[in-house]
Amino acid sequence: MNEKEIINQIESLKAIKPNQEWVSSARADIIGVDSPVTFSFFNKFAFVGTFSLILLAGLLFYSQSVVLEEQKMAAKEAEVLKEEIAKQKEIEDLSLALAELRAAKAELDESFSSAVAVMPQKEAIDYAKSIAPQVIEMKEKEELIIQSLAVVVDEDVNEDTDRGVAALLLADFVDQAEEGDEMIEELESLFESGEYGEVIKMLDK
Amino acid sequence: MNDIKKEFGQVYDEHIESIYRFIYIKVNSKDVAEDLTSETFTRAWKAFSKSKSSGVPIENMRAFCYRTARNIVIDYYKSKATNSVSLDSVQVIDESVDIEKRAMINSDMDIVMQGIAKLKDEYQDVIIWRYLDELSVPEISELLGKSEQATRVMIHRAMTSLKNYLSKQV
Repeated sequence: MNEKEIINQIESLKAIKPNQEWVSSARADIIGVDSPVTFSFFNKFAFVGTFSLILLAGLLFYSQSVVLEEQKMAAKEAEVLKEEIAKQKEIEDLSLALAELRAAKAELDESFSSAVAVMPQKEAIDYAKSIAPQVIEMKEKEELIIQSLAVVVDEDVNEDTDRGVAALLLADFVDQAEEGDEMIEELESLFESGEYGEVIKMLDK
Repeated sequence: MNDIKKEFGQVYDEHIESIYRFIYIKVNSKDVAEDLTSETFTRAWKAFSKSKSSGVPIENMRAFCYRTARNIVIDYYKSKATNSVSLDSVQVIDESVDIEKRAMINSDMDIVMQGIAKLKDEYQDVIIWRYLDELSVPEISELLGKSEQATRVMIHRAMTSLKNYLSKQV
């Protein structure tokens, strides 16, 4: 079972809701009862007047409804068509956004690998720290787009930056952590299983 | 006074569902969850009106309600000195959902609720806050009084523990 499936199962608990009658009565018990609505002669008069108007409007509406039915059907069909077009457009937009995001990621990969290749370790760690939020943001955006597309999309296998940033942040953390810190073991295991994003998220300050 | 009532009414309306759910998942009983939720909001109301009259407002009412709910649940278990799991979640799902679907949802809910119930209190809290109430890591770290990094680690560990439990159930 992967993390997404577990999250989906956890989200099923959103169905737990309190009984609405209990919510209202508890509210009244705690904060106090709202002032009751008085139903005076004038209220009754106003109610009868309003009711008559609604009834009249209802009759008028009913008499026109038969004529309007066909127009409604046509409008409904047009609406369905419009929704389908909008959905198609959304998919196109998301696909385009994904392509753009991956292009930006590729650009970042290139500048990161060429920069850290010539930097001393300390400088490279600082650089990795500075771009860590950007790497996380890109990863999250990518996941979001793929989720919204709701189709199988080829995974972006290029994880050079993620791996490089995670390695530098981890090295820095190991240098500063106390010996025997159980978090080191956990981070190393995540790194070894390729969960670079997770390592970056946990170490990004 | 009416203004204070109105203001607290908004707090109540905004958080009643999440606080009820938070408690329900921990106590696994509709009646107990209702009692403890009422107790939470009664205490919150007293603190809220007191803070208004003293001129020192409670900055984060949601955090206050969660902390109160946590303490109330702890007190409840101390007094019960037992952690029985009696799942009556069937009653809490919207009755308009068809029977087959409800059975499926209940089965998923039961498994995940049992899994969460097996976790340490702190792990239960972070999972509920992160994935059900959709709080951000900074918000959770504020509730826990821990650094963001420590909170991230805790969320990760809580998920790993839950994953281990659920994998054994499949």
